[in-house]
Amino acid sequence: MHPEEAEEHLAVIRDAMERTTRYTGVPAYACLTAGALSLMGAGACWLMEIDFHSPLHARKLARVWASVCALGILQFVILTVLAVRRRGESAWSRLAQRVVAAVLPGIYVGAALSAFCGITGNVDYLPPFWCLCYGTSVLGLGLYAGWKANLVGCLFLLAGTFGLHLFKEHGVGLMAVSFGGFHLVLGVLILLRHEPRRLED
Amino acid sequence: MSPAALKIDDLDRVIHERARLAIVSALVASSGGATFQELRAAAGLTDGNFSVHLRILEEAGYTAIEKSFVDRRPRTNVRLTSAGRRAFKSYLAVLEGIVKRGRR
Repeated sequence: MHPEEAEEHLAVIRDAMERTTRYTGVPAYACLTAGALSLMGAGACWLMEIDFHSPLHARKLARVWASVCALGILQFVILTVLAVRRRGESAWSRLAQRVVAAVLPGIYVGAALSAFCGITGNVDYLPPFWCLCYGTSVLGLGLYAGWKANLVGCLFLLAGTFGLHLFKEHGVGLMAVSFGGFHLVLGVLILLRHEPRRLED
Repeated sequence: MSPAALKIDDLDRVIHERARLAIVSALVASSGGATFQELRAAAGLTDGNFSVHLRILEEAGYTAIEKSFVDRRPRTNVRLTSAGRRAFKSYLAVLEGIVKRGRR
């Protein structure tokens, strides 16, 4: 056997191993819907004239963004399960379990911080906190889903970092740009690059 | 021994075939095994092709198949046996040896 042929066989091994550890379950439509829901949440805040810089708005903000979060997660789970099952694969595969384990810590920290800020009335920093926590979760997804998730995770971290310093007075705007815009960016990236429409390299 | 002097007989013929090599590699990467569908997707094979290669691996004692029901749906789980893992390691060592000698 020649070295070139051996290298080809090593490439087969590498490709198969990469495919096994690459999560391709996230559909573009789930990202687009999440973005649209976040923009609707920001729009609702704008119509109700509420923002994060006033503790008096805490309850209304909680209602709006808890609804957006619940609907976002629900549609994400449903669309992902449907997309994976359509391909004849298990929605709760070992890989999916690893992805969930990588994503959950960021979500948990976000929920814990939200509860603390809600109880103490310090809601003004919630949007950048959410961006930082969600960015961490998306980077967790990126470990298995590739560069698109990594890119969007970094965008969330940047938005959260700048949000802490620059956008304290514009929390709803930050939510619209980050949770609205970045989800749309991710959805479009998935749509542009691949058929079937799902998250992969 | 020159790199070219290594004959096909020196390699494990069961694993050497590309489709089976992809299946075994995917199983090595997925600790605890994989379902039929996951493995077929990772190996990039059609149903028929995949079944044939899987049977050859099973007959060689490199894989074990377990059938179960999850949510009342049948699920076929494939895992690598210790013999399969050993065979893969040996095969990999031979390949790496060939590549290293070729670079000298």
